[in-house]
Amino acid sequence: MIELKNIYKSFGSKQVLNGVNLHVVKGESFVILGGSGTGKSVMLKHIIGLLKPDKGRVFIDGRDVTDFTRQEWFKIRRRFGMSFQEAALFDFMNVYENVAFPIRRHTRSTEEEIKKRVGYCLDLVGLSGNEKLMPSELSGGMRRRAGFARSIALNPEVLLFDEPTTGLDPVMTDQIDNVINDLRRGLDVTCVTITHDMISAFDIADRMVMLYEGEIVFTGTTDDILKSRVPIIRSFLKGRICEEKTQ
Amino acid sequence: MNFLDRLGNWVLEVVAQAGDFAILCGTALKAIFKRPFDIRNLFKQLERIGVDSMPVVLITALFTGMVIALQTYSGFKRFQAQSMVGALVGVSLTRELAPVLAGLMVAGRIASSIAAEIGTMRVTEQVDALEVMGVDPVQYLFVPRILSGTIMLPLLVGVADVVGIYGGFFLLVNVFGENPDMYLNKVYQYTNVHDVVSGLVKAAVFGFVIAMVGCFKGLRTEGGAEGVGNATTGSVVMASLLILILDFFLSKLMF
Ligand SMILES: Nc1ncnc2c1ncn2[C@@H]1O[C@H](COP(=O)(O)OP(=O)(O)OP(=O)(O)O)[C@@H](O)[C@H]1O
Ligand SMILES: [Mg+2]
Repeated sequence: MIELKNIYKSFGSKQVLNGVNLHVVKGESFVILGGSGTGKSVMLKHIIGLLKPDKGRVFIDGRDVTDFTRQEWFKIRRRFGMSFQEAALFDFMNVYENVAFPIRRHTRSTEEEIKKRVGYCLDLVGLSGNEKLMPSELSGGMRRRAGFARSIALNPEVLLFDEPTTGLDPVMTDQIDNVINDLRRGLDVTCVTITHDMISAFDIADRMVMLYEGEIVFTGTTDDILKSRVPIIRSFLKGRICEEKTQ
Repeated sequence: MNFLDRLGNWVLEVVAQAGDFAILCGTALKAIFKRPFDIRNLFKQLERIGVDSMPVVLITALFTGMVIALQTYSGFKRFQAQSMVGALVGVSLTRELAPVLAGLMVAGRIASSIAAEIGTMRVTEQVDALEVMGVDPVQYLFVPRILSGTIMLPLLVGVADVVGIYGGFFLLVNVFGENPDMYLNKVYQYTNVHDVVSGLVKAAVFGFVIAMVGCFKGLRTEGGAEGVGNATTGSVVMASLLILILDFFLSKLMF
Protein backbone atom coordinates (compact mmCIF):
# COMPACT_ATOMS: atom_id res chain seq x y z
CA MET A 1 0.00 0.00 0.00
CA ILE A 2 2.53 2.58 1.17
CA GLU A 3 6.20 2.02 0.69
CA LEU A 4 9.19 4.16 1.51
CA LYS A 5 12.40 2.97 -0.09
CA ASN A 6 15.72 4.17 1.22
CA ILE A 7 14.58 7.70 2.01
CA TYR A 8 17.18 10.32 2.82
CA LYS A 9 16.22 13.79 3.93
CA SER A 10 18.20 16.64 5.39
CA PHE A 11 17.39 20.23 6.27
CA GLY A 12 20.44 22.36 5.63
CA SER A 13 23.30 20.52 7.25
CA LYS A 14 21.01 18.54 9.53
CA GLN A 15 20.53 14.98 8.37
CA VAL A 16 17.08 13.84 9.52
CA LEU A 17 16.27 10.65 7.64
CA ASN A 18 19.11 8.23 6.89
CA GLY A 19 17.82 5.61 4.54
CA VAL A 20 14.38 4.81 5.88
CA ASN A 21 12.62 1.72 4.56
CA LEU A 22 9.02 1.10 5.39
CA HIS A 23 6.16 -0.93 4.05
CA VAL A 24 2.61 -0.40 5.25
CA VAL A 25 0.21 -3.13 4.16
CA LYS A 26 -3.35 -2.33 3.16
CA GLY A 27 -5.77 -2.54 6.06
CA GLU A 28 -3.27 -2.64 8.86
CA SER A 29 -2.69 -0.30 11.74
CA PHE A 30 0.85 0.79 11.66
CA VAL A 31 2.48 2.65 14.51
CA ILE A 32 5.63 4.73 14.35
CA LEU A 33 7.54 5.08 17.58
CA GLY A 34 10.61 7.11 18.31
CA GLY A 35 12.08 9.82 20.46
CA SER A 36 11.30 13.46 20.07
CA GLY A 37 13.04 15.02 17.10
CA THR A 38 14.03 11.76 15.43
CA GLY A 39 12.11 12.59 12.27
CA LYS A 40 8.76 10.85 12.69
CA SER A 41 6.73 13.79 11.48
CA VAL A 42 9.16 14.33 8.63
CA MET A 43 8.72 10.70 7.63
CA LEU A 44 4.94 10.97 7.71
CA LYS A 45 5.07 14.04 5.50
CA HIS A 46 6.98 12.08 2.90
CA ILE A 47 4.14 9.60 2.65
CA ILE A 48 1.71 12.29 1.61
CA GLY A 49 4.05 14.38 -0.50
CA LEU A 50 4.36 17.40 1.77
CA LEU A 51 8.09 16.83 1.72
CA LYS A 52 10.18 15.42 -1.09
CA PRO A 53 13.06 13.07 -0.28
CA ASP A 54 16.62 14.06 -1.17
CA LYS A 55 17.15 10.46 -2.19
CA GLY A 56 14.94 7.38 -2.28
CA ARG A 57 11.48 6.62 -3.62
CA VAL A 58 7.93 6.68 -2.31
CA PHE A 59 5.35 4.23 -3.60
CA ILE A 60 1.60 4.27 -3.12
CA ASP A 61 -0.28 1.23 -4.36
CA GLY A 62 2.85 0.23 -6.23
CA ARG A 63 3.00 3.53 -8.13
CA ASP A 64 6.07 5.63 -7.81
CA VAL A 65 4.75 8.96 -6.57
CA THR A 66 8.11 10.53 -5.71
CA ASP A 67 8.14 12.89 -8.66
CA PHE A 68 4.43 13.56 -8.80
CA THR A 69 3.41 17.10 -9.60
CA ARG A 70 1.21 18.99 -7.18
CA GLN A 71 -1.82 18.37 -9.35
CA GLU A 72 -1.20 14.63 -9.33
CA TRP A 73 -0.80 14.69 -5.57
CA PHE A 74 -4.08 16.56 -5.13
CA LYS A 75 -5.87 13.66 -6.82
CA ILE A 76 -4.21 10.99 -4.70
CA ARG A 77 -4.76 12.86 -1.47
CA ARG A 78 -8.53 12.64 -1.70
CA ARG A 79 -8.07 9.11 -0.37
CA PHE A 80 -6.03 10.30 2.59
CA GLY A 81 -6.85 11.92 5.86
CA MET A 82 -4.19 13.40 8.03
CA SER A 83 -4.20 14.96 11.44
CA PHE A 84 -1.28 17.19 12.30
CA GLN A 85 0.78 17.26 15.43
CA GLU A 86 -0.30 20.83 16.18
CA ALA A 87 -3.79 20.23 14.76
CA ALA A 88 -3.41 22.86 12.01
CA LEU A 89 -7.03 23.94 12.32
CA PHE A 90 -7.95 26.84 10.07
CA ASP A 91 -7.98 29.71 12.50
CA PHE A 92 -10.47 31.77 10.50
CA MET A 93 -13.21 29.13 10.84
CA ASN A 94 -14.99 27.72 13.86
CA VAL A 95 -14.78 24.07 14.82
CA TYR A 96 -17.87 23.12 12.85
CA GLU A 97 -16.64 24.76 9.65
CA ASN A 98 -13.23 23.19 10.08
CA VAL A 99 -14.66 19.71 10.16
CA ALA A 100 -17.14 20.51 7.40
CA PHE A 101 -14.43 21.97 5.18
CA PRO A 102 -13.23 18.79 3.45
CA ILE A 103 -16.83 17.65 3.00
CA ARG A 104 -17.80 20.91 1.38
CA ARG A 105 -14.80 20.88 -0.90
CA HIS A 106 -15.02 17.33 -2.11
CA THR A 107 -18.64 16.25 -2.02
CA ARG A 108 -21.96 17.66 -3.05
CA SER A 109 -23.57 16.95 0.30
CA THR A 110 -26.53 18.97 1.43
CA GLU A 111 -26.27 21.15 4.50
CA GLU A 112 -28.34 18.53 6.35
CA GLU A 113 -25.93 15.71 5.48
CA ILE A 114 -22.95 17.83 6.41
CA LYS A 115 -24.49 18.67 9.73
CA LYS A 116 -25.08 15.02 10.47
CA ARG A 117 -21.59 13.98 9.50
CA VAL A 118 -19.87 16.80 11.38
CA GLY A 119 -22.01 16.13 14.43
CA TYR A 120 -21.06 12.47 14.29
CA CYS A 121 -17.34 13.16 13.94
CA LEU A 122 -17.32 15.69 16.75
CA ASP A 123 -19.24 13.31 18.95
CA LEU A 124 -16.63 10.62 18.35
CA VAL A 125 -13.91 12.83 19.76
CA GLY A 126 -16.04 14.24 22.57
CA LEU A 127 -16.39 17.74 21.19
CA SER A 128 -20.16 17.97 20.81
CA GLY A 129 -21.40 21.34 21.90
CA ASN A 130 -18.19 23.13 20.91
CA GLU A 131 -19.12 23.65 17.27
CA LYS A 132 -19.24 27.41 17.47
CA LEU A 133 -15.88 27.92 19.15
CA MET A 134 -12.97 29.30 17.20
CA PRO A 135 -9.66 27.38 17.30
CA SER A 136 -8.08 30.11 19.42
CA GLU A 137 -10.71 29.43 22.08
CA LEU A 138 -9.82 25.74 22.38
CA SER A 139 -7.33 24.04 24.63
CA GLY A 140 -4.43 22.18 23.03
CA GLY A 141 -6.10 18.83 23.51
CA MET A 142 -9.42 20.04 22.14
CA ARG A 143 -7.67 21.42 19.09
CA ARG A 144 -5.97 18.12 18.51
CA ARG A 145 -9.27 16.29 18.74
CA ALA A 146 -10.93 18.72 16.36
CA GLY A 147 -8.08 18.14 13.93
CA PHE A 148 -8.60 14.44 14.34
CA ALA A 149 -12.31 14.82 13.62
CA ARG A 150 -11.53 16.82 10.50
CA SER A 151 -9.15 14.14 9.23
CA ILE A 152 -11.82 11.43 9.40
CA ALA A 153 -14.69 13.58 8.11
CA LEU A 154 -14.50 12.25 4.56
CA ASN A 155 -14.11 8.58 5.52
CA PRO A 156 -10.68 8.31 3.91
CA GLU A 157 -9.11 4.97 3.05
CA VAL A 158 -5.78 5.89 4.55
CA LEU A 159 -5.39 7.78 7.79
CA LEU A 160 -2.21 9.41 8.97
CA PHE A 161 -2.22 10.57 12.57
CA ASP A 162 0.63 12.57 14.00
CA GLU A 163 0.49 12.09 17.75
CA PRO A 164 -3.30 12.14 18.04
CA THR A 165 -3.29 11.50 21.77
CA THR A 166 -0.31 13.48 23.05
CA GLY A 167 -1.43 15.81 25.77
CA LEU A 168 -4.83 14.20 26.27
CA ASP A 169 -6.00 12.81 29.54
CA PRO A 170 -6.07 8.99 29.87
CA VAL A 171 -9.83 8.74 29.36
CA MET A 172 -9.72 10.84 26.24
CA THR A 173 -6.68 8.94 24.98
CA ASP A 174 -8.54 5.72 25.39
CA GLN A 175 -11.52 7.13 23.54
CA ILE A 176 -9.41 8.21 20.58
CA ASP A 177 -7.72 4.81 20.51
CA ASN A 178 -11.14 3.23 20.39
CA VAL A 179 -12.16 5.48 17.54
CA ILE A 180 -9.08 4.43 15.60
CA ASN A 181 -9.85 0.78 16.26
CA ASP A 182 -13.50 1.20 15.29
CA LEU A 183 -12.58 2.95 12.08
CA ARG A 184 -10.44 0.01 11.11
CA ARG A 185 -12.88 -2.64 12.10
CA GLY A 186 -15.79 -1.18 10.21
CA LEU A 187 -14.04 -0.29 6.99
CA ASP A 188 -11.00 -1.34 5.13
CA VAL A 189 -8.95 1.50 6.50
CA THR A 190 -5.20 1.72 6.69
CA CYS A 191 -3.83 3.69 9.61
CA VAL A 192 -0.40 5.09 10.23
CA THR A 193 -0.10 6.59 13.67
CA ILE A 194 2.79 8.32 15.36
CA THR A 195 2.70 8.10 19.09
CA HIS A 196 4.83 8.41 22.18
CA ASP A 197 2.29 6.66 24.28
CA MET A 198 3.18 2.99 24.64
CA ILE A 199 -0.24 2.07 25.99
CA SER A 200 -1.88 3.61 22.93
CA ALA A 201 0.62 1.92 20.68
CA PHE A 202 -0.17 -1.51 22.06
CA ASP A 203 -3.86 -0.72 21.93
CA ILE A 204 -4.03 0.10 18.26
CA ALA A 205 -1.02 -1.39 16.50
CA ASP A 206 -0.85 -4.40 14.25
CA ARG A 207 2.75 -3.61 13.58
CA MET A 208 5.16 -0.98 14.80
CA VAL A 209 8.42 0.51 13.75
CA MET A 210 10.91 2.37 15.85
CA LEU A 211 12.76 5.32 14.39
CA TYR A 212 16.09 6.19 15.90
CA GLU A 213 18.59 8.68 14.55
CA GLY A 214 16.94 8.73 11.18
CA GLU A 215 16.85 5.00 10.74
CA ILE A 216 14.34 2.28 11.41
CA VAL A 217 15.86 0.16 14.16
CA PHE A 218 12.92 -2.15 14.69
CA THR A 219 9.96 -3.47 12.73
CA GLY A 220 7.55 -6.03 14.06
CA THR A 221 4.33 -6.87 15.78
CA THR A 222 3.45 -5.91 19.32
CA ASP A 223 4.66 -9.30 20.50
CA ASP A 224 7.96 -8.88 18.72
CA ILE A 225 8.66 -5.61 20.42
CA LEU A 226 8.12 -7.09 23.85
CA LYS A 227 10.64 -9.81 23.07
CA SER A 228 13.12 -7.46 21.47
CA ARG A 229 16.58 -7.28 22.97
CA VAL A 230 17.59 -4.08 21.22
CA PRO A 231 18.68 -1.71 23.98
CA ILE A 232 17.01 1.38 22.54
CA ILE A 233 13.71 -0.43 22.39
CA ARG A 234 14.05 -1.81 25.88
CA SER A 235 14.65 1.61 27.28
CA PHE A 236 11.82 3.08 25.22
CA LEU A 237 9.53 0.43 26.64
CA LYS A 238 10.64 1.42 30.06
CA GLY A 239 9.65 4.93 29.17
CA ARG A 240 13.06 6.32 28.59
CA ILE A 241 14.44 7.57 25.32
CA CYS A 242 17.90 6.26 24.85
CA GLU A 243 20.18 9.24 24.72
CA GLU A 244 23.19 7.74 26.50
CA LYS A 245 24.79 6.32 23.43
CA THR A 246 24.88 9.60 21.60
CA GLN A 247 26.59 11.42 24.41
CA MET B 1 36.14 40.44 -1.26
CA ASN B 2 33.77 39.73 1.54
CA PHE B 3 31.68 42.68 0.51
CA LEU B 4 31.63 41.53 -3.11
CA ASP B 5 30.66 38.05 -2.00
CA ARG B 6 27.74 39.42 -0.11
CA LEU B 7 26.74 41.69 -2.92
CA GLY B 8 26.88 38.74 -5.29
CA ASN B 9 24.76 36.61 -3.00
CA TRP B 10 22.27 39.39 -2.63
CA VAL B 11 21.96 39.77 -6.40
CA LEU B 12 21.52 36.03 -6.82
CA GLU B 13 18.89 36.00 -4.11
CA VAL B 14 16.98 38.87 -5.72
CA VAL B 15 17.10 37.25 -9.14
CA ALA B 16 15.97 33.90 -7.73
CA GLN B 17 13.10 35.55 -5.88
CA ALA B 18 12.05 37.44 -8.97
CA GLY B 19 11.96 34.18 -10.89
CA ASP B 20 9.92 32.41 -8.21
CA PHE B 21 7.58 35.35 -8.03
CA ALA B 22 7.01 35.35 -11.77
CA ILE B 23 6.29 31.62 -11.75
CA LEU B 24 3.87 31.97 -8.86
CA CYS B 25 2.09 34.82 -10.65
CA GLY B 26 1.62 32.54 -13.63
CA THR B 27 0.29 29.72 -11.45
CA ALA B 28 -2.09 32.09 -9.68
CA LEU B 29 -3.40 33.55 -12.93
CA LYS B 30 -4.15 30.09 -14.21
CA ALA B 31 -5.82 29.15 -10.93
CA ILE B 32 -8.30 32.01 -11.32
CA PHE B 33 -10.11 30.05 -13.99
CA LYS B 34 -10.27 26.77 -12.10
CA ARG B 35 -13.32 25.43 -10.38
CA PRO B 36 -14.77 25.54 -7.79
CA PHE B 37 -15.07 29.29 -7.67
CA ASP B 38 -15.31 30.53 -4.13
CA ILE B 39 -17.70 33.48 -4.25
CA ARG B 40 -18.13 33.79 -0.49
CA ASN B 41 -14.44 34.06 0.10
CA LEU B 42 -14.11 36.60 -2.70
CA PHE B 43 -16.65 38.88 -1.08
CA LYS B 44 -14.95 38.56 2.26
CA GLN B 45 -11.68 39.68 0.73
CA LEU B 46 -13.29 42.44 -1.32
CA GLU B 47 -14.77 43.81 1.81
CA ARG B 48 -11.57 43.50 3.76
CA ILE B 49 -9.41 45.16 1.14
CA GLY B 50 -11.95 47.81 0.27
CA VAL B 51 -13.16 48.72 3.72
CA ASP B 52 -9.80 48.44 5.41
CA SER B 53 -8.10 50.67 2.89
CA MET B 54 -10.80 53.24 2.26
CA PRO B 55 -9.98 55.66 5.12
CA VAL B 56 -6.23 55.81 4.50
CA VAL B 57 -6.69 56.15 0.77
CA LEU B 58 -9.24 58.93 1.15
CA ILE B 59 -7.17 60.90 3.60
CA THR B 60 -4.13 60.50 1.38
CA ALA B 61 -6.08 61.66 -1.66
CA LEU B 62 -7.64 64.62 0.08
CA PHE B 63 -4.36 66.00 1.34
CA THR B 64 -2.52 65.24 -1.87
CA GLY B 65 -5.11 67.14 -3.84
CA MET B 66 -4.85 70.05 -1.43
CA VAL B 67 -1.09 70.15 -1.41
CA ILE B 68 -0.77 70.10 -5.20
CA ALA B 69 -3.31 72.88 -5.41
CA LEU B 70 -1.45 74.82 -2.75
CA GLN B 71 1.98 74.48 -4.32
CA THR B 72 0.92 75.10 -7.89
CA TYR B 73 -1.24 77.99 -6.84
CA SER B 74 1.68 79.76 -5.25
CA GLY B 75 3.79 79.09 -8.34
CA PHE B 76 1.22 79.83 -11.01
CA LYS B 77 0.04 82.99 -9.33
CA ARG B 78 3.45 84.53 -10.06
CA PHE B 79 2.55 84.66 -13.74
CA GLN B 80 -1.17 85.10 -13.39
CA ALA B 81 -1.91 81.50 -14.34
CA GLN B 82 -3.81 80.44 -11.23
CA SER B 83 -6.74 79.46 -13.40
CA MET B 84 -4.66 76.52 -14.60
CA VAL B 85 -4.36 74.95 -11.16
CA GLY B 86 -7.43 72.80 -11.82
CA ALA B 87 -5.84 71.36 -14.92
CA LEU B 88 -2.69 70.42 -13.10
CA VAL B 89 -4.44 68.91 -10.12
CA GLY B 90 -6.74 66.86 -12.36
CA VAL B 91 -4.03 65.52 -14.63
CA SER B 92 -1.42 64.80 -12.01
CA LEU B 93 -3.85 63.15 -9.63
CA THR B 94 -5.62 60.90 -12.09
CA ARG B 95 -2.55 59.89 -14.07
CA GLU B 96 0.00 59.52 -11.37
CA LEU B 97 -0.50 60.52 -7.80
CA ALA B 98 -3.76 58.84 -6.91
CA PRO B 99 -2.76 55.38 -8.19
CA VAL B 100 0.78 55.50 -6.86
CA LEU B 101 0.03 56.94 -3.45
CA ALA B 102 -3.04 54.79 -2.98
CA GLY B 103 -0.94 51.82 -4.12
CA LEU B 104 1.74 52.58 -1.57
CA MET B 105 -0.75 53.09 1.24
CA VAL B 106 -2.61 49.89 0.41
CA ALA B 107 0.70 48.06 0.10
CA GLY B 108 1.46 49.05 3.66
CA ARG B 109 -1.88 47.84 4.90
CA ILE B 110 -2.88 44.95 2.74
CA ALA B 111 0.32 43.33 1.49
CA SER B 112 1.51 43.13 5.08
CA SER B 113 -1.72 41.76 6.46
CA ILE B 114 -1.98 39.15 3.71
CA ALA B 115 1.64 38.14 4.26
CA ALA B 116 1.12 37.87 8.00
CA GLU B 117 -2.05 35.88 7.58
CA ILE B 118 -0.72 33.38 5.04
CA GLY B 119 2.66 33.30 6.78
CA THR B 120 0.96 32.30 10.01
CA MET B 121 -0.99 29.64 8.17
CA ARG B 122 2.27 28.40 6.70
CA VAL B 123 4.15 28.08 9.98
CA THR B 124 1.19 26.52 11.79
CA GLU B 125 0.85 23.92 9.01
CA GLN B 126 -2.57 25.17 7.91
CA VAL B 127 -1.25 25.44 4.38
CA ASP B 128 -0.03 21.85 4.62
CA ALA B 129 -3.46 20.88 5.89
CA LEU B 130 -5.03 22.43 2.80
CA GLU B 131 -2.63 20.52 0.58
CA VAL B 132 -3.37 17.28 2.35
CA MET B 133 -7.09 17.80 1.84
CA GLY B 134 -6.46 18.13 -1.84
CA VAL B 135 -7.22 21.84 -1.84
CA ASP B 136 -4.77 23.93 -3.78
CA PRO B 137 -3.62 26.78 -1.51
CA VAL B 138 -2.91 28.91 -4.57
CA GLN B 139 -6.49 28.55 -5.66
CA TYR B 140 -8.09 28.71 -2.25
CA LEU B 141 -5.99 31.44 -0.66
CA PHE B 142 -4.47 33.42 -3.51
CA VAL B 143 -7.28 33.74 -6.02
CA PRO B 144 -9.80 35.60 -3.83
CA ARG B 145 -7.09 37.93 -2.61
CA ILE B 146 -5.57 38.81 -5.95
CA LEU B 147 -8.97 39.24 -7.54
CA SER B 148 -10.03 41.52 -4.73
CA GLY B 149 -6.84 43.53 -5.01
CA THR B 150 -7.24 43.87 -8.76
CA ILE B 151 -10.88 44.89 -8.49
CA MET B 152 -10.73 47.04 -5.39
CA LEU B 153 -7.74 49.22 -6.07
CA PRO B 154 -9.20 50.83 -9.22
CA LEU B 155 -12.37 51.53 -7.27
CA LEU B 156 -10.42 53.08 -4.44
CA VAL B 157 -8.42 55.13 -6.90
CA GLY B 158 -11.58 56.26 -8.67
CA VAL B 159 -12.88 57.60 -5.39
CA ALA B 160 -9.47 59.03 -4.59
CA ASP B 161 -9.48 60.94 -7.90
CA VAL B 162 -12.74 62.60 -6.99
CA VAL B 163 -11.78 63.31 -3.40
CA GLY B 164 -8.37 64.65 -4.39
CA ILE B 165 -9.84 66.98 -6.98
CA TYR B 166 -12.36 68.13 -4.44
CA GLY B 167 -9.49 68.73 -2.01
CA GLY B 168 -7.92 71.11 -4.49
CA PHE B 169 -11.28 72.73 -5.09
CA PHE B 170 -11.83 73.24 -1.39
CA LEU B 171 -8.47 74.86 -0.94
CA LEU B 172 -8.71 77.22 -3.91
CA VAL B 173 -12.29 78.24 -3.41
CA ASN B 174 -12.66 78.30 0.34
CA VAL B 175 -9.17 79.36 1.32
CA PHE B 176 -7.93 81.46 -1.57
CA GLY B 177 -11.33 82.63 -2.69
CA GLU B 178 -10.91 81.73 -6.36
CA ASN B 179 -13.82 81.22 -8.70
CA PRO B 180 -15.31 77.73 -8.23
CA ASP B 181 -16.42 77.31 -11.86
CA MET B 182 -12.99 78.20 -13.13
CA TYR B 183 -11.33 75.38 -11.23
CA LEU B 184 -13.79 72.70 -12.25
CA ASN B 185 -13.88 73.89 -15.86
CA LYS B 186 -10.16 73.50 -16.11
CA VAL B 187 -10.34 70.05 -14.52
CA TYR B 188 -12.88 68.93 -17.12
CA GLN B 189 -11.13 70.65 -19.96
CA TYR B 190 -7.68 69.21 -19.41
CA THR B 191 -8.29 65.86 -17.78
CA ASN B 192 -9.38 63.48 -20.50
CA VAL B 193 -10.66 59.94 -20.39
CA HIS B 194 -7.27 58.55 -21.24
CA ASP B 195 -5.73 60.13 -18.13
CA VAL B 196 -8.33 58.63 -15.87
CA VAL B 197 -8.30 55.23 -17.52
CA SER B 198 -4.54 54.96 -17.52
CA GLY B 199 -4.59 55.73 -13.81
CA LEU B 200 -7.19 53.05 -13.18
CA VAL B 201 -5.26 50.51 -15.23
CA LYS B 202 -2.21 51.25 -13.14
CA ALA B 203 -4.31 50.83 -10.04
CA ALA B 204 -5.51 47.42 -11.19
CA VAL B 205 -1.94 46.30 -11.80
CA PHE B 206 -0.83 47.63 -8.44
CA GLY B 207 -3.73 45.89 -6.73
CA PHE B 208 -2.72 42.62 -8.30
CA VAL B 209 0.91 43.14 -7.32
CA ILE B 210 0.07 44.06 -3.73
CA ALA B 211 -2.07 40.98 -3.12
CA MET B 212 0.32 38.76 -5.01
CA VAL B 213 3.37 39.93 -3.08
CA GLY B 214 1.52 39.39 0.19
CA CYS B 215 0.62 35.85 -0.85
CA PHE B 216 4.10 35.17 -2.18
CA LYS B 217 5.90 36.34 0.95
CA GLY B 218 3.37 34.58 3.14
CA LEU B 219 3.75 31.27 1.36
CA ARG B 220 7.54 31.43 1.61
CA THR B 221 7.50 32.08 5.33
CA GLU B 222 9.79 29.89 7.36
CA GLY B 223 10.58 29.58 11.00
CA GLY B 224 7.87 30.61 13.41
CA ALA B 225 6.80 34.03 14.59
CA GLU B 226 10.05 35.67 13.56
CA GLY B 227 9.59 34.37 10.04
CA VAL B 228 6.10 35.83 9.93
CA GLY B 229 7.51 39.19 11.01
CA ASN B 230 10.12 39.09 8.27
CA ALA B 231 7.56 38.11 5.67
CA THR B 232 5.35 40.99 6.73
CA THR B 233 7.96 43.72 6.47
CA GLY B 234 9.50 42.11 3.42
CA SER B 235 6.16 42.18 1.65
CA VAL B 236 5.71 45.92 2.19
CA VAL B 237 9.17 46.68 0.87
CA MET B 238 8.78 44.42 -2.13
CA ALA B 239 5.28 45.62 -3.00
CA SER B 240 6.27 49.29 -2.68
CA LEU B 241 9.34 48.87 -4.84
CA LEU B 242 7.42 46.95 -7.46
CA ILE B 243 4.76 49.65 -7.53
CA LEU B 244 7.33 52.40 -8.10
CA ILE B 245 9.16 50.40 -10.76
CA LEU B 246 6.02 49.28 -12.55
CA ASP B 247 4.65 52.79 -12.37
CA PHE B 248 7.48 54.00 -14.54
CA PHE B 249 7.04 51.31 -17.15
CA LEU B 250 3.28 51.58 -17.21
CA SER B 251 3.50 55.34 -17.58
CA LYS B 252 5.89 54.89 -20.46
CA LEU B 253 3.62 52.31 -22.04
CA MET B 254 0.44 54.38 -21.74
CA PHE B 255 2.06 57.74 -22.35
N1 LIG C 1 10.83 22.34 7.92
C1 LIG C 1 11.94 22.03 8.61
N2 LIG C 1 13.04 22.78 8.49
C2 LIG C 1 14.16 22.49 9.15
N3 LIG C 1 14.28 21.47 10.00
C3 LIG C 1 13.23 20.67 10.19
C4 LIG C 1 11.99 20.91 9.50
N4 LIG C 1 11.11 19.96 9.87
C5 LIG C 1 11.76 19.18 10.74
N5 LIG C 1 13.02 19.60 10.94
C6 LIG C 1 14.02 18.96 11.80
O1 LIG C 1 13.91 17.59 11.62
C7 LIG C 1 14.04 16.91 12.85
C8 LIG C 1 12.92 15.93 13.00
O2 LIG C 1 11.71 16.63 13.14
P1 LIG C 1 10.33 15.89 13.34
O3 LIG C 1 9.32 16.96 13.40
O4 LIG C 1 10.17 14.87 12.31
O5 LIG C 1 10.52 15.22 14.75
P2 LIG C 1 9.51 14.20 15.43
O6 LIG C 1 10.16 12.86 15.41
O7 LIG C 1 8.20 14.32 14.86
O8 LIG C 1 9.55 14.73 16.92
P3 LIG C 1 8.32 14.96 17.93
O9 LIG C 1 8.02 13.65 18.54
O10 LIG C 1 8.84 15.93 18.92
O11 LIG C 1 7.21 15.50 17.11
C9 LIG C 1 14.07 17.96 13.93
O12 LIG C 1 15.36 18.01 14.46
C10 LIG C 1 13.75 19.25 13.25
O13 LIG C 1 14.61 20.24 13.72
MG1 LIG D 1 6.46 15.18 15.30
